[in-house]
Amino acid sequence: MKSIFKEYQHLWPPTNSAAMQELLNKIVVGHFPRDKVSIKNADKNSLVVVLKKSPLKHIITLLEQGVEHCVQEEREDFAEELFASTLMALRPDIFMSNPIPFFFNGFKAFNAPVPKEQNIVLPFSSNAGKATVLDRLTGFLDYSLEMASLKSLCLQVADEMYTNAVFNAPVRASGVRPFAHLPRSSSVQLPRARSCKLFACFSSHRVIIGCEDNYGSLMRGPLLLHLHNTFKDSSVSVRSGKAGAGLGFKHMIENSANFYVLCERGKRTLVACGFRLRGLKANITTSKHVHFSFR
Amino acid sequence: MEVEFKIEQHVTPTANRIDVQGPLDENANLPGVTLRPEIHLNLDKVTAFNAIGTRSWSLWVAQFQGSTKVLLTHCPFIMVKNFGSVRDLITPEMEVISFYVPFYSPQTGESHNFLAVKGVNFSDGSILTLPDVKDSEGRLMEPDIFPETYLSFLKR
Repeated sequence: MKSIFKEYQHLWPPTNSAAMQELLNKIVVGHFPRDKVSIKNADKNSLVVVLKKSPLKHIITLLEQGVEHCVQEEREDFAEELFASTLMALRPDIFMSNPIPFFFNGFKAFNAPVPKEQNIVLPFSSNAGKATVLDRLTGFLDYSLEMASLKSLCLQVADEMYTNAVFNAPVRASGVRPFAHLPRSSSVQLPRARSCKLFACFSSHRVIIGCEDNYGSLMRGPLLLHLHNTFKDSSVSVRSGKAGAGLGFKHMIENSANFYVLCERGKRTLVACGFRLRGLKANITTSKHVHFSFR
Repeated sequence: MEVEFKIEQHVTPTANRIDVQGPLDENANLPGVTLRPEIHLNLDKVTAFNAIGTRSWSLWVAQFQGSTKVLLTHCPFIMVKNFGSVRDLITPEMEVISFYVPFYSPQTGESHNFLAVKGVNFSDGSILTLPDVKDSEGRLMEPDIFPETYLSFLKR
């Protein structure tokens, strides 16, 4: 397996690629399924797996092997996502501290400012504020026709992110999740220091919806097991009981073209979905970029 | 603007026409329904459908099983996209009479929801025909769905 730079330097203009060379040389590319044995044995901290129109089942199998970045080669944003993978692998701290410039600038100039009207940050600390937050997000998405056409997908995703952040993320030192078993109509108030934020930003070609909590309690293994069970068949049953219905991540992944999970254990979790501004079909496609980083 | 969830029942001796409005989520109170030989569920004004709303819906519609014919009209995209991938959203008594098919114009970015009606645009098992839908510049818009997944509920 070669480095990203060796294999894909032609994707970037020479001036850019020279500047990126140092970073891109540190990450290795594995092609699935061709390199599946090498992928299994590779150092996953410096690996990006490139697929071609591969369904989620394959991606989940790779994630179960410890792979963190799965990128689909036939997509027009392939180069962008390769570089995103590189930055997430090598500089997760910068990404986590302020993800909006990364998403907005397409990971090229991640320190460049983001125009005010093109991003929104909506803090929240209780489930009572969900309708208001989603209402403000609706207004933000009405900024352009392209975004408005994706509103139903984006709002469903934001709704699930919000609910997960309030009910599933909070965890005590003992490991107990005090709100996870509660009906989602219960009243929950998080401490101020643990408040969350929903954010959105858009560029000429995509909109990102993300949510950050201050717990960092998402567990890779249980999440992967859940995704495995969710996507193993063509249809899924709703979870019974009074707590979560088990469809939140299904909605996030199915609705979006790109899915990002970054968890800094004990500190914060960032979940984000990328939507292409090209109608619904471009997003509900089965060919998804998935990033799954737990530190 | 936030819309509250609301259900209105219009009961006659032979049918109950139920209008569902607002976000179908954890705060949606789905009431008991006056059973009649025919239940018409109009979903035109459902504005959201989250995971908890999905579960509430599947429990709510279970009450109709075995006794009544349930006709679904104006099913929105956000529900239809789950009809084929989440079990028990449509029970054996249910018949989809109309549902929305989104269209998109890559040139202008416009979207449009076309209401597909049973017997006109689709039958059990397949789509018969969709009309030409044009954007504001007169160009043909494209159906913005993957038929094999979005329409899979027609084949049940």
